[in-house]
Amino acid sequence: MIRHHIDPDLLVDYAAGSLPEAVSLMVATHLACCPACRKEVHGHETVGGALIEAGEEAPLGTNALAAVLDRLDVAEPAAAAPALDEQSRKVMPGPLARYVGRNLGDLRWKRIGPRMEKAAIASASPQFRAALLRIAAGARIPVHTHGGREYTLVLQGGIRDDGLEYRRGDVMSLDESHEHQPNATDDETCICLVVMDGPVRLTGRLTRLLNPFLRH
Amino acid sequence: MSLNVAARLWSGSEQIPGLRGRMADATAGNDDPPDYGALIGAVAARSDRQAFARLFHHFAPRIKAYCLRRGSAPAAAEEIAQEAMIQVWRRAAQFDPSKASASTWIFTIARNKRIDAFRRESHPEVLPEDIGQEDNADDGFDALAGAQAARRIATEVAALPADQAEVVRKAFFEDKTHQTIAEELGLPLGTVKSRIRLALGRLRKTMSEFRE
Repeated sequence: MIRHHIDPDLLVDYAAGSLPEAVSLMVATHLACCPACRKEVHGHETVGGALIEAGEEAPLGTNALAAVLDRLDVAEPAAAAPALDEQSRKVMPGPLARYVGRNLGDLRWKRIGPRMEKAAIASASPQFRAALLRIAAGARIPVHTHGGREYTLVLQGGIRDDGLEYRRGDVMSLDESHEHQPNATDDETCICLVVMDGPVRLTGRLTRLLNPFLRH
Repeated sequence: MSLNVAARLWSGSEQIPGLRGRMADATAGNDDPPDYGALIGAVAARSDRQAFARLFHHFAPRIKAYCLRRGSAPAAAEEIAQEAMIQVWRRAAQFDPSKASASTWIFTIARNKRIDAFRRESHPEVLPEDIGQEDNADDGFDALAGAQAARRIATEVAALPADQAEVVRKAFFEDKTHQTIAEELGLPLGTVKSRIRLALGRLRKTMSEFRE
């Protein structure tokens, strides 16, 4: 049961195809877990279809149809779906699994704190970066603020922040004004997808010196 | 009538060379458009090239116009339209008329091709097989009754107050996020958000009348 949904505006931008790739990845991953938001997006896509249907036409070149008919028999290059191990499939919903294309264990995890690891995910968005975080059960995540917007989507375990609890599929959306101190819940290792469009600034006295959070 | 709607929908936008409004065609056709979903079905069932050609005639120029609107150069827009139609051919078997109208399905294909070509990015998608993993008894897709619903929604879009129609058009056709639209129109982000929300709320209400 999803309790923390994606911002409705992002669903419109996703359906319209206006989001940077890393943010679309986060939206699609949430959609795989959330029937309500899927339904929203489908509604927006129907609006897109109606706009196409009723929209203008731009005539194609005279030979366009012939050219396309000639190309129909060329087989589509097969997209090899990666065969992932059971744990990876369980943690990563379909859109994320296809995007990452590797087992969790095969990613390059870097230690970024005493009880926290991060694996960067290559993304075509220059501005938005995506990463997976693995946080030990019950661990405190260092105090930080954001240089930009950050979305955290829980895949396994949970996060508690500001009296709210986030579980699988839930999205925590934070902007630069938000200073927070999230905690992984006690039940199991927390894995989440983080998409951010600015560097994290640590605000604790010691941690500011270390500044390890999400640094490449 | 839905054809006039298109012209009204676009009015207020700058002219783009090579785009043909649909108003002139309005009297040519009767009000019973072909069942495009059935044509996609024919492509899936028996690789029906004639059915494909009819789909091509209808949708390829619309996809090209969409790409031009969203900033593609003419040659690129033409290429994306062709690529999208080839995708329609290849993926026809995945089209499920109980889940989406033909125009909705083709819109998503065109959108993704455009992102691929224009931004060299992908558009991560949820596939039907992804959903089984989660414990969702109710998948909750609205079944929309094909072209009828699409035309009705187009009518509704055109009937929106000008300020709402403008932001919806920008959101869907000009590759702009809420934030960019706000900057461009010199409006507070909250105003843009509420206009889009109001407009989509109206459209969703219309769509719900088409639920089966």
